[in-house]
Amino acid sequence: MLKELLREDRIILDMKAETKEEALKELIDVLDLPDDKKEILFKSLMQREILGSTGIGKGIAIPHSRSIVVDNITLVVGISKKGVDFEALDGKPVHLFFMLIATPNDPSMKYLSALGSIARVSRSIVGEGEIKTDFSSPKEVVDYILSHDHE
Amino acid sequence: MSNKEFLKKLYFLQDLDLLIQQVEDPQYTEKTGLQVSPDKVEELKRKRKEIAQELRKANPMMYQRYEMLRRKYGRGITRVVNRMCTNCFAALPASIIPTDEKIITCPNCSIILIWLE
Repeated sequence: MLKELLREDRIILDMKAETKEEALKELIDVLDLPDDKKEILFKSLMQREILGSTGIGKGIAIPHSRSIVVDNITLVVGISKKGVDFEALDGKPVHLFFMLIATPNDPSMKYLSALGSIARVSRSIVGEGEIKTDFSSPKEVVDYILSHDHE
Repeated sequence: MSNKEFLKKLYFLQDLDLLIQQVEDPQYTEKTGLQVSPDKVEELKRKRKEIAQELRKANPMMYQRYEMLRRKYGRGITRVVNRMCTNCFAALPASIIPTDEKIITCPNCSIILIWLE
């Protein structure tokens, strides 16, 4: 599942963001959308954050939303070496972001399955101890994530 | 409220509807382990109600259509991509041109259309 969604051109190796808002904007920027669509997506993601942070703790966050602005289920991965204050459940800075956006209609339930896969991979990564943040290429990030994807 | 503003508010309402639907789905918490605050969900529902009232007042017919289609398709507004309705995937007739003068609906499935190219 994750293998299909991971794209090397949708990976940020060293995020500059320091706050939740900046992090979401930086992740959204990867999608190369016009400004009006970016704004819709940002509002949608922030709305979900208001219900409870998607910073699941131990350095990982999974911001997600269904949105009218995308044509397909879309995943963006961001690495932050310095960490972002994402108001995570455990209050720790977030180093690894999985931003998942799905279309409003999702007949195949792909979205929930993808969220489930990301949550499973995240648990596997944090189970290892420290999150790796030092990558020299997007491919390395893809390999790192997939090495934790034991379906 | 102009048609443009109405449509912008309507798809924000749809985003809220999708979000509420998502977090209230038992599979959501089961599969992801993500928790949401019930108080915040109630707050979101109140916000949804306020926006819905505003839209109902501005254009009762279109708002009613949105609610009716939402019950039928799970959404009431959709994008046009490459001159195609992304709800029923029917090609739009050449006579349909995006305009702020009126709100356009799909001649095939009746869904409210927006152009966000």
